[in-house]
Amino acid sequence: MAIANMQVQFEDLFWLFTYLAVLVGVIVFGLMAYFIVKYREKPTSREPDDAPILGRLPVPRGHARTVILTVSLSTIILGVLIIGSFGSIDTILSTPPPCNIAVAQGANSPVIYNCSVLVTGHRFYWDFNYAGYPNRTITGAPFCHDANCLFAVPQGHDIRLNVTSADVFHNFGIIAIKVKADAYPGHINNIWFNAETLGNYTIQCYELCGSGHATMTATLAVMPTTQFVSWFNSTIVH
Amino acid sequence: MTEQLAATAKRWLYTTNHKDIGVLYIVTSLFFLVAAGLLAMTMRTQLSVPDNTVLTPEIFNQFVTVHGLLMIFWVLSPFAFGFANYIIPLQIGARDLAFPRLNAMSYWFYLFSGVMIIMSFFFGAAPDLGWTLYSPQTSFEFAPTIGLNLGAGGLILIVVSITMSSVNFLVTMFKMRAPGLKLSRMSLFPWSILVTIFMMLYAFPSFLAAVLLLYVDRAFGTFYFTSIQGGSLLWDNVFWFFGHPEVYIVLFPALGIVADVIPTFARRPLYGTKYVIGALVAAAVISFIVWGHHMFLTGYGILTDKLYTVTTVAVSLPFDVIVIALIETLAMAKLRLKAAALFTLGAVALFVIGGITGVYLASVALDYALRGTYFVVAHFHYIMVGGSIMGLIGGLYYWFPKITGRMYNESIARIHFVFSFVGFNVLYFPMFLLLDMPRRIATYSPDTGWGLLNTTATVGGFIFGGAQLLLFYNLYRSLRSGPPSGPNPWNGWTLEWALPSPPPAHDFDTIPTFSDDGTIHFKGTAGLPNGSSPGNGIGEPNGSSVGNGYVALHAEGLSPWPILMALSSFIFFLGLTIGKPDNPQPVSYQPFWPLIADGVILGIISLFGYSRERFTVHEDSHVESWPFRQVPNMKLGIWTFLGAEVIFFGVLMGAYFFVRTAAPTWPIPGTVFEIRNGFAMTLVLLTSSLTAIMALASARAGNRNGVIVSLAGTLALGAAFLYIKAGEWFTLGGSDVFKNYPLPATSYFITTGTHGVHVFAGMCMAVYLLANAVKGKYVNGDHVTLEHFGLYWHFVDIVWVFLFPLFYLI
Repeated sequence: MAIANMQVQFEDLFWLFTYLAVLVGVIVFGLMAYFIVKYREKPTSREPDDAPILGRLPVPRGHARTVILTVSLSTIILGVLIIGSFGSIDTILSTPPPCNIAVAQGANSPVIYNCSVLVTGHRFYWDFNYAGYPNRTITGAPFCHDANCLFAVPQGHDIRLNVTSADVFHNFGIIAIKVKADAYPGHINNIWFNAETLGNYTIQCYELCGSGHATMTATLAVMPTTQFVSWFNSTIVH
Repeated sequence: MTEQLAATAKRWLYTTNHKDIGVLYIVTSLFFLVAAGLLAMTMRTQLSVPDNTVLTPEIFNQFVTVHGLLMIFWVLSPFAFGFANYIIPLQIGARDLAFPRLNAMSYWFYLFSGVMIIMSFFFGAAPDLGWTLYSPQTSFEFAPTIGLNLGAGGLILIVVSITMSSVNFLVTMFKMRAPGLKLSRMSLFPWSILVTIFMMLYAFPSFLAAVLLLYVDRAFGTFYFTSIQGGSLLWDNVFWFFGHPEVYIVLFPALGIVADVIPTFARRPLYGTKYVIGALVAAAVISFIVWGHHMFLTGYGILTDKLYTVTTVAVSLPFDVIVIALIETLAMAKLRLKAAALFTLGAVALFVIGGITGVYLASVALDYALRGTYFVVAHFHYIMVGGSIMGLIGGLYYWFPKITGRMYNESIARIHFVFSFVGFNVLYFPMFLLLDMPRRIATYSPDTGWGLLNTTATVGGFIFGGAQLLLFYNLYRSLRSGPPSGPNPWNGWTLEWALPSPPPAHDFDTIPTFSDDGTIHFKGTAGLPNGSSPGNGIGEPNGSSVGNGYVALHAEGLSPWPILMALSSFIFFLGLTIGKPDNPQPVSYQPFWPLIADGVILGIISLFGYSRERFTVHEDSHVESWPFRQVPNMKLGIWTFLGAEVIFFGVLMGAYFFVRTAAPTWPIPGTVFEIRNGFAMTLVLLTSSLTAIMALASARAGNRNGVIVSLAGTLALGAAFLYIKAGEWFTLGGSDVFKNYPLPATSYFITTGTHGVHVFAGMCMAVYLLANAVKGKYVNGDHVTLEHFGLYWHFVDIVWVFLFPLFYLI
């Protein structure tokens, strides 16, 4: 099921890796199992001519071509994986332009929200500051799952997250969207995603930060844009 | 009865014999394996179901941290080096290691450092922020517990142990090989140890610098890891520059064992030996340029991301070569599936899975989802437990007969293998499927759906852990009543199989020789085992394991100073780390002076005793020693040690550059640190190098007065250097320099302070040398000690030549 662009991209790349991994595994384990079964000692086996014995250095054995073949095949496979990875990382690290969602009627003109959120890690919760309203922040709490720490975003828009920390080294990860960012003081990391499917998605901390590490959860809520606008008005603007 | 007990205690506490020390390392590492394994089983119990309350998060964090620290530092490498100690001198035809007392010291430092880690549980709290100790959660502000200080102390002690071992093995393996044993003729286990040692020499000094900087941040309130300019990224870089080579350090010896054991049981030579050796070297070199893959999400830029993806993916290529070579070895073989073969083949299979999943993690794009999850945990356990531990257990079954003279029970060993292999996969494979679950969480909620996989893993953990009881039972029972194994039960070709099982205390009667045609001569006859009488290893069937001439034969091999040196260091570091924090605004710990003083006093006594002891090391003259033919052992040892020091100071200076580049402003030269002082110190120290050279020249010329005056001059100039520095420190310490210039002050005090400690150590040496010179030493062709002192002293001066412009001129 496609939940978000980053998740789809991850799964595509992950499956590319897995197909090749299974192929390599089948060849390597197959060869190994075949040799172990075929060349195991039986009453009829004879001692090989070059069996290592005490008093003599082992006879050199092996062909350069095996090494060259192995390295060449591996390089081709790894090259494919690198190209796939480079394509994906280009997407992950190219921040999209801001969006324009009219969220409220201001004094003279509509108030525009630009789809950017400042995420700050604390011991042991996340807070979400919606750009444009620096005094309105959703503050989470350890193991908070209710409406008070709901981090809402509009469906189908490019959401840009600026992730940092107020104290120690955390890592912000949205499980279902398959996107993460290191959160450490003095630095802001930028990630983005575009969520297709409505729903609530769990956020966890992915870097050991102290005794409350397991409790640093939050919830991402992907809402239809209209619902997001009313949520924004009631929660952020007012 | 008590007399025999005393003799046994004396042997084991004072031994410097490589075989005894090997046994000590193996047994101690198995003890730590059980301890760390029990921590793991408890964690698995906690995680078996959601919302569990077996362990509080605080205790869980301590368990997961100490589990990692113990396994990586106190189990994997020591287990491997236990074998290296016992077997390598036998395999290369050396009589012992180059520096036997240093070897003993390495072991005791290792033991006491482990005691320090375990002690931390009982002194408030153990370290609890992961073995990776990320900043700034490890700073005093966020972790004001003694546990991390004790952890730092234990880590510093074990780095000292490892550095001593590296120097020792390097000199031994280069300088003490049997005639005709060129490096290219060594088998894979010695090669893997040699490559490991090079990695240790160049990686551990970085770790030492990191732990030292963390300690001073915590104890003295400096700002390396508590500032934004340094902070998380500085630790990440300094730690992982060490950390990545480290994980190869704990792997390579096991690969070496696997590469020697499989050919023995396959009854065919290793396929492509020179390619496997080349691959080990290539992987070791590349291991130093991949550390950024542990920092993929820190935001260092897309170009760096791609670079590290490429280098990390590339490092898998040498391992492909090694795996193919091991599998090809089995072609046209006659494979006997004894326990050692089962475990080493199993290790290859599990290593392949670990390696393949490592390629997943090498992709920066995949890492954006897999970072900090159980996918990573599964990957490295497949390598470290599946590859390393299984390989090392294979080595244990392989060499158990040689070490004890007894054969273990093959059926029990095979059952051990089956349960270990199955249990291992039930334990760790589910973790790949838990690729959403964060690492190091003490619990998780039921709606994550992670419960079933976790329960499965815990069941596997109990199978795997429980299976090891079979190992201990088997070995213990066989030790007491197993059948005699004979010298070569596996029909191996490496030299240890030519000796009786167990070998006599002195190893070979006559060192074997290697001829150009590939034959190996023992006592002049090719292929026959050494005919001397059985030795007095453990489990000696006819009588006690001590006496029977062992002590008499090697009375000169017993020395109390290694254990006393280690004990004094242990006490000293305990004093540095065990004090209580001061209230109410703690920025430092109170050092516990009684312990520090005791440590220093005992240390001085031990150092004195060590240097005065008449300890003779027999150096064979007709040995292979390329490429260091003209370099005496001690000098090679000192050069090796200085190589490690280069990395150590290099990292300290690197930390300075790191924070300086990140800082928006830096004081203009001359405003904070008086250039005059720096100049004076430079002149003084350079002149002291001159006087040191003059001392050596006088000694060579037989000029006693010249030696005395020059050494006194060196001492005086060194004292002058420290005097000027003390004045500088006093002035700066009284000012607000830390408040106004936190990072310049931090980097200045710590870097020049560490250098100053080196100057002080050199001066202590100079005092000792001067006292000897006054008594008339060094002028009768025995001036080599002055040469060694000179090497160290000139190095210290060269470091200053770099520090002076860095801290005073730019």
